[in-house]
Amino acid sequence: MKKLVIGIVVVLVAAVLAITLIPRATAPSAPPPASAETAGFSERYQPYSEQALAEAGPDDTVVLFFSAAWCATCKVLRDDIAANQQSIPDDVRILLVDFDDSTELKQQYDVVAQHTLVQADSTGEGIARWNASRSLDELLATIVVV
Amino acid sequence: MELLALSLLAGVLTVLSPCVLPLLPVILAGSAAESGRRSAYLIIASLAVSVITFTLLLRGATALLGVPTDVWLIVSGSLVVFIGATLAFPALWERISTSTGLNRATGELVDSSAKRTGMARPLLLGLSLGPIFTSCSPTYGLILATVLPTSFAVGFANLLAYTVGLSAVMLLIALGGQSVTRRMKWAVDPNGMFRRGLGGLLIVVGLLIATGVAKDAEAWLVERGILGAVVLEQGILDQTDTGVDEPGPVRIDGGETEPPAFLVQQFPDIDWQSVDPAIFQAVGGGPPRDGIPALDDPAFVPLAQVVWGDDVQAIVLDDGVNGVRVYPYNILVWHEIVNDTVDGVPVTVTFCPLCGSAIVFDRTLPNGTATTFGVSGGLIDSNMLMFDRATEGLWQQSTGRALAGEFVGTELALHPFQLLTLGDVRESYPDARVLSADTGFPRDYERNPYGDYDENDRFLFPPSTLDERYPAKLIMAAFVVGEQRVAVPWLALREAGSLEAEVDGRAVSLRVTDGELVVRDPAGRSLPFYFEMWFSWAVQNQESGVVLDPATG
Repeated sequence: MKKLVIGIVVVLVAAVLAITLIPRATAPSAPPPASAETAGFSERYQPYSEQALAEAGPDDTVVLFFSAAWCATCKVLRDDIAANQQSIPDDVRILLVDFDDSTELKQQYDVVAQHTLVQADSTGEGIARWNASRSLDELLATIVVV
Repeated sequence: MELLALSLLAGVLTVLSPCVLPLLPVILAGSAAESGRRSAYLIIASLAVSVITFTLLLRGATALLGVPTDVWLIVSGSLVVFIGATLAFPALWERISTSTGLNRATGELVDSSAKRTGMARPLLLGLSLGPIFTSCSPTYGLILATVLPTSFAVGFANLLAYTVGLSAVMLLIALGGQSVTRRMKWAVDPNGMFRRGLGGLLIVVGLLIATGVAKDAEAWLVERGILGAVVLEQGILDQTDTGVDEPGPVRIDGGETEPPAFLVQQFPDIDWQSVDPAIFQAVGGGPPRDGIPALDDPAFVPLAQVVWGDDVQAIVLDDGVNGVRVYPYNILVWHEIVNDTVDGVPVTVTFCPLCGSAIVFDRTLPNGTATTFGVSGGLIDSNMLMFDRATEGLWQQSTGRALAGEFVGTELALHPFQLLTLGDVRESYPDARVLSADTGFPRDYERNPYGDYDENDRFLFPPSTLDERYPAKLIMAAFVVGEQRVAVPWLALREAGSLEAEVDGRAVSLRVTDGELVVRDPAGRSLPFYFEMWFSWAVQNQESGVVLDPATG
């Protein structure tokens, strides 16, 4: 009987811990997924925020890159973009979206899998969606003409 | 078939990737804690079912997109914690199993002759992992993104192959864990410290999963470039002819990516691979190619013979020593295009009734050939698509731009004209010659086939966007200064008589005298212009166009 009580207490503690710890990890103030490799963002390649989107010029093409920190193929593309930022055209902005934390954006653009790219206009209106670009060149080549 | 083999291999390789991190300790500890191979098989089988189910639910459909990722982590983590607790505190599990009949029910489900070996726990353990397993395999990504949407059967088969590959390795791990346990006799005792220890381990792992620490650990590995077999698998994927096309972009703005069938059929010579994608938005207006007949060899009659009323609008062209040529709207509305030669210049006089656009172009193609234009029957946002008979290219009337054919991207040159009423013409040009109603086509030029379309607020083809700054069908005078496209409410401008404005830092001057408009650039040169309904101009130029309004200065 004593063991049963201990068992129940453990499960309860686990659940409480889980629930209290999670919101802290996903609070809106949490910084975007910056890291040593993806640091050094520029105007043309930076973490998604409403402000970053608003800064896009009216004729700019915005590409949202739904990337997860644990996603290996995303990592390959992140590194390639970061290393070749200077070759992003002036009218293209790549905004990095954290796949795990961005439920609303995922719903808005029907993004079901990590490593998804969404092309939008400067107001955020979705234009096209594709998966798994491996390099910046491939990403830029996939942008559809509107 | 090759893709199936690759999917199987990808499943096997996934075990060497960071994304399998949360699964491994759970499978290993979970199966080591159970006695009998049956439970290892059961854990893996339910894992496979759970992975496939949740892959289809979460990655193959959008219905559950609103559920935050954290929720799945908590669900899975809590289940693992619970299972760990049952191992760490066996009395608890006994109690729950007996009181709910869970054990017996699942035992019967799996195998009616099952001994009293607990079947519920392994089953639950395998199932718990489905919601959080997100494969990092590029092949898995290809299956989800490309194969599943095109063919559910083929996609499902590949998903199955992938899961079989993944499960096979997982099974080896599970059986390995068990064989280690079996060698240690002391470990088999259900109440022994070893099992309790494994239970404790599961509790810890469950907590790590629920709190997201396990995902962070994966991220930590990935950030350090430990990508496991992902790079190798990508290489194999690139080398293999999977028979699956590279996943292309899916339009989500309603934009079409295929040329409309009616145009393909009626313009078979067009190379549809190299067209302006704007043409994909074209719709059939009703009448087929040449169903609205352009006039090619127009006849003219003296103004004095014309009976149409003073309020009929008309395109008026300067014919040099021959005076002016007048093309009344009531005839244009039936033909939309008149190919003519005026003062030695080959011109095409065009009028699109659905967007009120009156534009005169020089009908000389970029290669120097003077062509004639016809009505294709296609419309983009109510605007007419014209075709040139020399090259069969398609041109949008409101922009004069070639959207398909040899000259894609080039624009026809505007030719100057005035938009006057017949009343204006009678006053200013009594010697004018007017397009004859004797066109060779039986049309009733007294009747407007579009009724009161110009005045009502309805559309035959609703525009893709509606800019509400002005009434949709208000006529604008439009011109281009440098690269900047400009529009001015025409009647207001007529009323005001003149307008001085600055466009892109250049002073432009507009004057209307006796209904005739002159637009001058800073150098004093006269700029050609045209007329178009507001909604139609706005569709083309909403974002970058400039509106000058005499009323607001």
